Amino acid sequence: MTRARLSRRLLATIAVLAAVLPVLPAAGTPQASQTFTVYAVPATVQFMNHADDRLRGMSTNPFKQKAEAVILGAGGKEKGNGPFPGDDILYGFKLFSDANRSKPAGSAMFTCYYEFVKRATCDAYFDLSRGLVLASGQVRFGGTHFTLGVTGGTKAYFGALGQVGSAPAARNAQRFDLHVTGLGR
Amino acid sequence: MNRRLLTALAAVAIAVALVVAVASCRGDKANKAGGAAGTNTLAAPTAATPRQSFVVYAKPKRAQFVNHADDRARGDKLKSFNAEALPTPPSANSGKKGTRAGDNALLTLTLYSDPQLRRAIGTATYSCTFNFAQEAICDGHFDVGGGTIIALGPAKLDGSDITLAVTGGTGRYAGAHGQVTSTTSGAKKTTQVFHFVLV
Repeated sequence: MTRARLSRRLLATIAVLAAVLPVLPAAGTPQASQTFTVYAVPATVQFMNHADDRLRGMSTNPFKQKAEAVILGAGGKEKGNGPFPGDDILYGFKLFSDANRSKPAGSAMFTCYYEFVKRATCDAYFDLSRGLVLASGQVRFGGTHFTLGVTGGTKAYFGALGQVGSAPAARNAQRFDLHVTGLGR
Repeated sequence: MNRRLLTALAAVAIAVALVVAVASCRGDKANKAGGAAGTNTLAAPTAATPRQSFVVYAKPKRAQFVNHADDRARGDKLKSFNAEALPTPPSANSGKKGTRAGDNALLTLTLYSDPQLRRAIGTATYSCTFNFAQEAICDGHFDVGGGTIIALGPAKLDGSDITLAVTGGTGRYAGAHGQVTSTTSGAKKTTQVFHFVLV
């Protein structure tokens, strides 16, 4: 093979590599994403008032500091109706794929564990026909606008990540916008 | 000399191509995160990540059920929110046996690598909070093989199959995602079979 022919072949190889490499996906890139909206209608709720547990926690606790300094309210007397730290609220929702609530899409369950200043950490799951989507995050008591992080899923939502945005909808419903990434892994 | 120059040129070209490839993929990721809200889209999957699948067997070791009937009763009495709009379950405090919304179940299990339950390889804990219709949301931690797998999802805890989503992990399972399915086996149905599928 002559030097000139070798040079041409090498340059051709470089050109092919330069054209092909940019379209190869990087490792760890989310494979597929899906964005959809469901409308949630509250079905059931249970409020758990842990006042007795808080009171016991004032006298027996693992903390070093004085209980009075860290407990809300004096002598265990709580002002207002809460929710106070340690209370939890369980919400059950019926889901619909349309705002008119004519197409059932599954159910959703929120388990919210209250911390301070009426903020809760909520674990939610959306039980949809194609699988579960799990989400977690902070929700202010009575707040209708919040965003949860999608932490996982099953079946069609295997390995899901992403986020769920929430906003109020008509007729006491809640709108959930799910943006699910990492599908098809 | 000419050959050396061409080899060097080839190396530079490949390096540039690689940088461009990575940059273009990062751009795709940013576009997906920022631009898809409010639309109903389904992007086509590209390269599949290899999945890791394995089975472990388990036997329950300890269990604690926490009955929060008093907290439920107080919660029903103190209307902290618009209870008229959101009804409580009709049998929330009926006094009958069974799980009610807000009750907890805590379980530990010993994990084995074999169905005969001879070779112990770790432990698992379940922390479950019941919601409605005897269903609970369970937080599962599986300490096995140099790391922890964390899973979350709904469970009936009545012996029926459970599928939880794997949401993360530590050690060799750091960043794990996927799902774990639990079924019962054995003559007394006391052996749990956990089938993990991770990416």
